[in-house]
Amino acid sequence: MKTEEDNILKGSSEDNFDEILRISSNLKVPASSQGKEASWDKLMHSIEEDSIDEVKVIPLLASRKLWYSVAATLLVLIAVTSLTYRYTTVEFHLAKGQKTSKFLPDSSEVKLNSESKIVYRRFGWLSNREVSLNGEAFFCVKHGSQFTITTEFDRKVIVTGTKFNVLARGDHFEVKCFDGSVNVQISSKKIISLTKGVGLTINKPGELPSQIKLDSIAEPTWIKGEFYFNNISLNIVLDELSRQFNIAIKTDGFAPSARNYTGFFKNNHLVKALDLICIPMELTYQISSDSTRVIIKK
Amino acid sequence: MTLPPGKYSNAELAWFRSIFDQYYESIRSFAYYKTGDVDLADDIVQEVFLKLWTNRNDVKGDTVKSLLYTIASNTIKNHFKHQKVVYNFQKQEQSNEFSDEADSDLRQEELNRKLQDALAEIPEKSREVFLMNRIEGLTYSDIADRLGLSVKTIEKRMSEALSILRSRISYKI
Repeated sequence: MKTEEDNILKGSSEDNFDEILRISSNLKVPASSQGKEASWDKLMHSIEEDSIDEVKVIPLLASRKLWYSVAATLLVLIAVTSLTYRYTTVEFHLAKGQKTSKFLPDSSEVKLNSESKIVYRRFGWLSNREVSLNGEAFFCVKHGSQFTITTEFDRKVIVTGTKFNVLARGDHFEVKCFDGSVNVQISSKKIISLTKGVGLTINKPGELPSQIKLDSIAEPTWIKGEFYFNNISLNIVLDELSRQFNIAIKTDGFAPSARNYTGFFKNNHLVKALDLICIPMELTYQISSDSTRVIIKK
Repeated sequence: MTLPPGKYSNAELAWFRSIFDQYYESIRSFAYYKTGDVDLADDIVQEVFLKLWTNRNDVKGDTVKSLLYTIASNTIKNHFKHQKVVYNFQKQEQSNEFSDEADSDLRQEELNRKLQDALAEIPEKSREVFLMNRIEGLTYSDIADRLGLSVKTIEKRMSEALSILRSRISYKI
């Protein structure tokens, strides 16, 4: 009974399946609602639009957009950075012939010589107690205050609460201690401690510092407008002269760096100052009618 | 046939038209096998041929066939949410030499419906192979060519389709 039924079932199933296969071969995908030619026309239309819009305009637009956004981002970054820098750092830049006195955020006083620049942070002074100096300045540091003065060639003056003068002009570096003590870092390894009445000077990078003994004075003489030189290269002297009187100096027939000068000048009278320098050095000078240029000759 | 302006040659257009003539029906059918939706199939045809056109410079003669199917598969995969297909295949006009019974038409109609529902049950990959073979009469090696598969794979898919059909179609009709 059971096997008979199985056979019947199987047989009828196979019959059905054959028929199913036959039907499946006779099936047809329903016709397109638009048809082949309409489909082709639509394609041509799209291609036309593509060749005008997509191929030319859209990629260009996309890349332009990209560049615009890159440019905008950069502009914002530059603006923010420069604004941040501008408003968070304080910079004093004195021109030739000027002199001024400033107070640092810790109320230490800085007297700046002509043609000198100091930069420090307005905000974040506590976390970054650093003053960068290019030129010459006399520091009267508030007692107990600590900060670092950085100059060119990575020379640093580490302040421990004193009065001292720092000169950093090009190769020439000089620190003079007028009160208390101060640490000078000449290189990453070498730190020299200066006490009252002692100074050091370096004329060229890499040169060993030489010690200077200071006369017992309370502050550098340049503050009073007096400039003393003890066997100092003449070009340094002339630079200072140019700075103090805001004049351009030209030399003719000799090399100032090859000669040393000992003497002084005051910054209140140009002719007197020139006489003080030129007469002992056997030089002559000419001052232009508007007193802005001087030619020194041998 | 209008010739729209653009940066392409007449030769390119002629080539494109010949590919279109050759594969329009197949690709439309293929899209229908996959989606069971005539209008969607039309849209897919548009996308497939447009992509072929865009990439016409990279297409080499003998890769066109499989490329079309690949593009179609990817387009469907990427753009259309996979839904359960409901087929509505038409019957081809034919002299019904098998109808030797009175209730033949009715019976055929029922079988037909059963078949189409059963087809929807077959996994897509086997189903499309089955339909390409049955409806378009493509050989296994031709299908393998078009889909970029081996004949062995086509055979495997075909037999899967058949066994599912066999199990789904009831004898009690």
